[in-house]
Amino acid sequence: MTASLREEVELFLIHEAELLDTLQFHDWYALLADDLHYVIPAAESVQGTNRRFDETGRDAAPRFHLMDETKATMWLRIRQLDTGMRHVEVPASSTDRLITNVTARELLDRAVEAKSKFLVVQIRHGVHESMFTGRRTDRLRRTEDGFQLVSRRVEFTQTVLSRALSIFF
Amino acid sequence: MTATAWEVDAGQGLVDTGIFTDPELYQRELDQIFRQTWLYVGHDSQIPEPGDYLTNYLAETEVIVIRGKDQRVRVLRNQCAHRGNKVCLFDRGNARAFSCTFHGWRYDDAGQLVGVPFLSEGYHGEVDFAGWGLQRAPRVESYGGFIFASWDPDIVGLDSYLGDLRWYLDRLLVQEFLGGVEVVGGRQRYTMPTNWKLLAENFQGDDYHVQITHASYLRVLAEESQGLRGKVNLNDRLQVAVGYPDGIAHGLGALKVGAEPKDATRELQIAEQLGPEAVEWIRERDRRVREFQRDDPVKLHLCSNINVFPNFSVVSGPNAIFGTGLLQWHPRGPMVTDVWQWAMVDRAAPEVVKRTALRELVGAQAAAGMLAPDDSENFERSSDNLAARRSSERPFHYAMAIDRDDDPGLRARLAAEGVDVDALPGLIGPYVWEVNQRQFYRYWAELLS
Repeated sequence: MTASLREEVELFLIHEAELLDTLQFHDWYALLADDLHYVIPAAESVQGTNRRFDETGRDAAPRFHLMDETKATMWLRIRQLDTGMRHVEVPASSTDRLITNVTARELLDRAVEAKSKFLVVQIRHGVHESMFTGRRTDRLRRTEDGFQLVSRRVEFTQTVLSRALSIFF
Repeated sequence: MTATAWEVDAGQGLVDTGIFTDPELYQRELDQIFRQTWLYVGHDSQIPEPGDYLTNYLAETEVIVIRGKDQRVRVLRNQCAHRGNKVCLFDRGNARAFSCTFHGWRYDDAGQLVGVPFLSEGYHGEVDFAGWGLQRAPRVESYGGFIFASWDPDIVGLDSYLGDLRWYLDRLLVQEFLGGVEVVGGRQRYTMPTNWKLLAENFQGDDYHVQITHASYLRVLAEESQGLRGKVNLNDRLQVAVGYPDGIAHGLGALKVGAEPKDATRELQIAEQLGPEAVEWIRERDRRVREFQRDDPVKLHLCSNINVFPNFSVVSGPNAIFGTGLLQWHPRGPMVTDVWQWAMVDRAAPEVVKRTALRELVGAQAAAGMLAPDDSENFERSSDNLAARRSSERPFHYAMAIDRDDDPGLRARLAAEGVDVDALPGLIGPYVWEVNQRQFYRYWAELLS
């Protein structure tokens, strides 16, 4: 890992987090690759293993995840926010996405694997506070306009989420 | 608190808001509601082999649901008989025995006490092994693979408890004619800051909220009908009150029925995008549905929401390529609910159909879906108000069409379409209807009195 690659990836992740924190969902959507696979597996504790999450690749057995999105389903979610009637985001949640522990490595075909940890604080109506922590493994693709997000796997540290999810990670 | 202090006047459609906030009443619910009913604990497909288990809750009480060497499913309290420690620490697994990490008492897969350290030195060999096993739910029965347990040894059998609901469950949930169903891996778990009853009654019969609470979802479906989703028509949907007017109250909502079986054109269009395997399955599925429904006087097309009293709910999609959600509203105090959701698909469906069906459910009625978070938001707002409740508070209003539970107009309209409502089990009502919610509170109050 070179320092410059790490910095380049980190700046992308910070930029992306800032777009979400400032509710610029269409600009965020523009960073998603056409072949996006965005998944948040549900955690479980299984006797005999310390692994909390199962595989989520395209070849893995069908499972019930927290999110399992393509670019097309992400578009529906963005459009839902656009209606102004997505009650759980009216008024929009206040959020801070703190992105840290970033590492990056080059893959074949101009792709980069990025790993990061996050702490996301979400506040509804100024009083209801939720916190989400976890780690992400992303696959980014270099394009002429910069990085695109090709895949993201989000693993929450929490097993019991403190609220239903209405924000992106 | 006396039984009459909280007024639930189901006949007038008025419900005292104290039943959503009062800690003493909540304790009575744990004894009188959750120990006198059948509670869902899991599905056969999750524990197929001897020793397979999952942990779940009967209200607040953690239990191990395990298939024994004898193939029988038992529901064991996850509490060592000696000093109360947990004996199982996992969501699921396979085990022949459970050992306590405190003093080491050991139990077999039927909950029998089989080992006590220092038996001769400490106890001089005198331990009542038969009397000190894990506490067992005295009643465990399953309906078509759906396993329920009850603490009440004298409760009616599960078949009688479900009553007329079975006719609908056979067609919507159990679906043996399709080769059965499968609850897949992965369980969502999140907290809703509200009383469990508000969630259960929502699935029991609050279809009234759909077009407002879920306005954004409906609009997106209508405007972005690309891909697999499409416009939803709610006007021709129905509700069913099971156990009406004085039995065990279960409810179904957003049903669609017809004189002919459901047309599979839409499913086939979706399947064509998924490949020949999917098309073949949908054709075969359609054939089996038609065959099964051949003698049904009225053909059931779909149903969006079910509540099995008290706190087990089902959400289904508009077509066969849409996963079914199984929801448990585990109470955690009067104003907190621990929501558990599982997902179910047709067992015989090809993998591409299962995968798509699960993705559809994830995007709709699920923890991060385009539906459930809006419900949660509304409940959080009303809970803020309930937390400020005073004793003189106005009751909640469930009095829509209070004197007209039966709807002759609906009966006539359906008759004109060749649908004989009287041939369907339960009382049939229109889509926007509060009879199911009134019935929920009527039966709830009966159990508490």
